[in-house]
Amino acid sequence: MRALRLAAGKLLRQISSASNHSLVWGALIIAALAVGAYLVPAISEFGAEAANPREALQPPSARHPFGTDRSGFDIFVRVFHAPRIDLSIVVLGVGIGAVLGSLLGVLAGFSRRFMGEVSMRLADIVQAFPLLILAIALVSLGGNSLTTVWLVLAFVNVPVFMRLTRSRVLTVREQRYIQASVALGNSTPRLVFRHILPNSLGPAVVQFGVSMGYGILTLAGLAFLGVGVQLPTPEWGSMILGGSNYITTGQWWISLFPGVFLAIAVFAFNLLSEGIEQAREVHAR
Amino acid sequence: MSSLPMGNTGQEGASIAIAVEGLTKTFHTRRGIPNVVAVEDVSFSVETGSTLGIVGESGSGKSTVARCLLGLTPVDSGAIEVLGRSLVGAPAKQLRSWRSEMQIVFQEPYESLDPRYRVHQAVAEPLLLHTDLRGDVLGRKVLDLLEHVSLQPELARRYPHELSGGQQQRVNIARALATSPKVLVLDEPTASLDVSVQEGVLRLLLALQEEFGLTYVLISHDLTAIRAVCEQVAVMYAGRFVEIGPVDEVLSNPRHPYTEFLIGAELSVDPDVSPLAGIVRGEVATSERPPGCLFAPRCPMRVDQCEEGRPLFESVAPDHVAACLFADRSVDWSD
Repeated sequence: MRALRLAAGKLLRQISSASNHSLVWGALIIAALAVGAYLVPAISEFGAEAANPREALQPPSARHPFGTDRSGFDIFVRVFHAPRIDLSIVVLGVGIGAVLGSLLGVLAGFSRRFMGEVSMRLADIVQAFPLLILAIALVSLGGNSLTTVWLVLAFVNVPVFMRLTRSRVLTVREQRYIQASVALGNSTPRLVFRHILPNSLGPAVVQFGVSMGYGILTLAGLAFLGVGVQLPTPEWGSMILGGSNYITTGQWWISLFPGVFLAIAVFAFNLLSEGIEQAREVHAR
Repeated sequence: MSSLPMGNTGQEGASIAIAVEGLTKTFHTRRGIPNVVAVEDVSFSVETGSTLGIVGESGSGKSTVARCLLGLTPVDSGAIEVLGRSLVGAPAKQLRSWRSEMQIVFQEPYESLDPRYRVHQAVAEPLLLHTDLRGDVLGRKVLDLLEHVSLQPELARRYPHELSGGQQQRVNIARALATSPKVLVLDEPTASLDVSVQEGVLRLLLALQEEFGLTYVLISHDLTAIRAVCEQVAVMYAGRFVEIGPVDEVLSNPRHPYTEFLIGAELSVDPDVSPLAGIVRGEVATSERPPGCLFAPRCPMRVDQCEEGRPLFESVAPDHVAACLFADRSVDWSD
């Protein structure tokens, strides 16, 4: 036990002495949220979706650290349980959007002709809409389900990553080492995937963290507006919505704690992306 | 206009590695901006195992010639034959497979290396593309190549930005030599290196040429490097060759006023000699192309006749030609 504590202390000291605090802390917070999502519900006596009307609207106490809502749901468990939905949907949606967008960006940047222009104008159209309104419209078109929500997240992120990667490809393809790679005898596919793509992904990797933060906000924002995730599924945005009517009557804890966790998650992803950017700068001298 | 008395083409027994005839390349810029004629009607040939130097100031089209020579830039017209293969119009796949025998080293050692490839990966890449070497055999070959360019094996795992400029250029040379090419185009290989490092790289290139019987085309504006490495030299101005000949002959007995200017612009070891003595003002005109001699606007010897048409090459000595009306010096131009 003592050895374990010593080892943990050493690890913590090493982490805090690392020069890239943003990267370390962003990753740690996200990891903690992910682990907590499974750990806390497992050891808690309350279920995340177990209503208990006899203990409704109780303020924070030793029994219910974050209080309960109008149905008697324990907010502590639900707040920790929420990343299962929030993080996984956002990772899936933004991840697919990032991969698809980056690939399209490489093609658009490399072909530069008709395809490049057409795809960029399509991206313009998608990006001309306010994100949340577009998302609401798409969810109401595609049906109010979680699948639609991550598809929407992917859809709105494709143009972001496409634009970013394309502009980087336009720079990279003119680099001398690309010409040198042609002179060495690289075929076009190999040139694109072995030289241009790896050198063009940097901004997209940084953007991934930012987009994850936005994605969490979008998902919660949709849930808050009653689109996508519905009660009683534990999710930060829908929990904030559930408590919004009670703020004026004094039951502040229902909305506050999910709001704080939402902010922490967005903050962690922004830290992570800042950390990645820093790490890349060091690498690129 | 392209009928040129060429270097050593007539000699018996010497095989020709590179033959270029009437090479012309115009870069088309956006509407409203005139096209840039980078190379106009350039012809030359290089014997197997020898070195042709191409000198000229910035913007004279030297690097475009280098890129055309390897089929990296499509040409407008003209014929390019490297190792007996016609590059112009060759299918991309064919061109790619020929690349193992013709390689290029660029001016910028750092920019020419993919920043995400370690040294050993960079040197291994042409071998992966053109040979069946894999695994341990490949690794040994890479170390062998690094040794050939005097790089310590410890550097193999470094990234390009962790190397000095001279080391980076050695990596570029090792990579270019990996597939044992017969023709190597050197586009200002020492221009961005320290003077002390330049000599080392030039010595290395000479040693490698001797060892492997390489044919070099050395693009440079450094006459010292040209003197040290080349047998033949071509002087380029505004996209055209203006003088070609054996390097000692051309540099000691220049017959084109532009060649004279280039030699005059070189710094002398004698501090009393002003480098500005023979200065020619103005810049190379690439967008305006008058019908006459392109150097005429800047030429101290200019006469009206110069503007009537491009001067033809005149033979002034064995193998030595110059495209100037006064190449034979029958006119007193000292003024």
